[in-house]
Amino acid sequence: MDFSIILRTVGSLALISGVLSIIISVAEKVLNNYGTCELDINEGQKKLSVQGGSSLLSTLAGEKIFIPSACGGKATCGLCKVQVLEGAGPLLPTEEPYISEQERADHVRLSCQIKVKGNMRLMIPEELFNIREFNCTLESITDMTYDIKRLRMKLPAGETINFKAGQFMQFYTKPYGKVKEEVFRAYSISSKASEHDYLELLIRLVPGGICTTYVHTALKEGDQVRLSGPYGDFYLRGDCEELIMIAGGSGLAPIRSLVYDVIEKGLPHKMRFFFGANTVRDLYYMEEFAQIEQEYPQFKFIPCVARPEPEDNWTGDTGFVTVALQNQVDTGEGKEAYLCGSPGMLDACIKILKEKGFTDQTIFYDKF
Amino acid sequence: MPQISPFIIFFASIITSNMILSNFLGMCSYLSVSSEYKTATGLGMAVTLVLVLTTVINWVVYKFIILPLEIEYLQYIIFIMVIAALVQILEMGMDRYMPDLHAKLGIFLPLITVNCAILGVTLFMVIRSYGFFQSLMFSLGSGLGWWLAINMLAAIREKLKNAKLPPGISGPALSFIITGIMAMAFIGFSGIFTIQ
Amino acid sequence: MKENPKNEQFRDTMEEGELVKDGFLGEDERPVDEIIAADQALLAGAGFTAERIGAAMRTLTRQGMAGMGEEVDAGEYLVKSEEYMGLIGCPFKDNHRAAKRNTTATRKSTGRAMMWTDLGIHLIQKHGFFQGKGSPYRLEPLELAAFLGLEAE
Repeated sequence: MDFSIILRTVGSLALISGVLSIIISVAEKVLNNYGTCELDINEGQKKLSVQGGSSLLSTLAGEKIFIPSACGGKATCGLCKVQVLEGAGPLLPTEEPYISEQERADHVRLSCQIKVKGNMRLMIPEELFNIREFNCTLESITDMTYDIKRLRMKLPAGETINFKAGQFMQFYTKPYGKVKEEVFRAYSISSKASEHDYLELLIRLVPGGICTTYVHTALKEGDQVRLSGPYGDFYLRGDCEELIMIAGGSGLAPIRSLVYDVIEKGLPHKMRFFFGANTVRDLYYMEEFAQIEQEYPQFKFIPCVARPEPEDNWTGDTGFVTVALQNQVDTGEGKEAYLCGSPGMLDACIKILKEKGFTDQTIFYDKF
Repeated sequence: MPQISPFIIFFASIITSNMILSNFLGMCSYLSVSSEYKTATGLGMAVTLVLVLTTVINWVVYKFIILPLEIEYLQYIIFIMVIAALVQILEMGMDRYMPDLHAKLGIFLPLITVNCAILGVTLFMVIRSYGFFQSLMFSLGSGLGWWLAINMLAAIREKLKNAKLPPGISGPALSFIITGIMAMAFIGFSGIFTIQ
Repeated sequence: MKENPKNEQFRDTMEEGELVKDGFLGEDERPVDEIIAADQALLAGAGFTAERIGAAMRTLTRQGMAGMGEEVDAGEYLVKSEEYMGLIGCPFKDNHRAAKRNTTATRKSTGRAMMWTDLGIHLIQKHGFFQGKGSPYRLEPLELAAFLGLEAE
């Protein structure tokens, strides 16, 4: 074997691949490095200098501006819309299904899909600036029913939260089992708005759900829990004499917060809370609401069990919550309705409410 | 080095020796990406850019590294390495400056690396012993010719989207028939220019 | 002719622990497009379409919804629909949000029961996707067509 052939072969291949690798690395540094970008928010109200290269959603979160999202940046929830007047680049194929014609004209984009590559001009609704992140400690995790757990979390020392009763928090899980990344899901706050250093959430186990399985199997007392919030348009308007509240399952959470809010603020509204459960096993907070009923005559608690067993000795309303609603509420005059539950329950109840004269302006529920 | 003017080579490589219609090289992405006109234009642009840069760089590498060191047996490997590196850089650039086109092209962008038209142009340059300027014009013309062919097919396919076609013919079969008819039409140009 | 595997980009939402705990692919290593095409071929050979199967599932689910958690007598089937709060996005990122509803249907004549989710109906009806082999929610297309009592065309 001629030594010089081996030398030339190996040498030239090594040289050429070496040079090409260096060129690619340099190109990567230049092309993938977006440098510092200036974000102009709300026409100069806020100006941020950020490192480019990440999605707008995560870049803003890094600057403590939390845009609502339910899917963690996977473009399946469509909640992270932000108006980007300049600097977003052309509309991406992944954004197309979520942005309507009108929104495209208004420069609305999915912030989880667009990368910060240069200076940008954004418009962010004022209320989103109130949203903060909290690293709470899980003080207690209690079984309320066979599939609902109550989490009571203490905020870090010195930090407080101001929320409107009815709003929700984003709850961040940690990787567990086969789930390799954190996910976050929205849960309504069930604690009193007057408590500024604690948060309570009611979480029902959903079969196959990433977050609820985490809460029901991996979470322990004393764990650190990350939350952000408060979010949401579901809160008390009160432009009426009576509040009709309807909930099922873990939907009780924001209603509990609302009821305490009205009582603690001494508001004059009458309240009727229709709580729908499939079986007696699905009921919880029974004593607490019975007590409130006793102390505050303005509040009436109407639990409805769809299928009570004879041995339960159930004396309350039987049947679906829609039956009680139909029979016990006469008109929508002077009333507002607050609902929280599964889509089927919401649809059935809203239909009845509208028949009774409630309108889109007097019916409130979370749509996520 | 053949005694042909680079400008004649330029026109010949577009018309009489079109990469797709005369040499049938680079058919894979040609057939797959020609369903949408805008994406086809984007890919044509990318292929032309890659062709020009790789041919020029490969000419330099051939003349100053491969020939002096007498390692002609390594030319295939070395040419492919250069093409692969360039396509990588092109991908990064596209992701930055044209993200929507980058998303639309999908896997066909890195597939330019194994597009036989790219390696084909380089090897033609070697076989025909073109000089620098001739190689430059040859690659530019081949790229533009490829771009022209894919644009023509995309335009025809877009027009045919609403046509009533016999079942079984639409899809790949129709693309082949159209390409064949276009190739036959281009034979009419033969003899106007010589490529070698 | 090589096709751009346009559904492969959705793998990031289909793996386990991304959108749902067990994912939509089970142990299936095949590209998403291949899974859909294979099931499509099975159905076409037997004279069914995913669209018809999805529509039949939706009819049963609607009948179950009237029961609001209680089992409903729907002619040849007993159907029960259970719901949870909230909506779940579609892994194909098409702006569809499905209710978290589990429908269990039992065929009276055979006693056989099958379970599906609202999202599962959308995946079958709009995307022809029956989920990968080994996924806990995968329904075999031909078994499902037989269970639903569909006639071959």
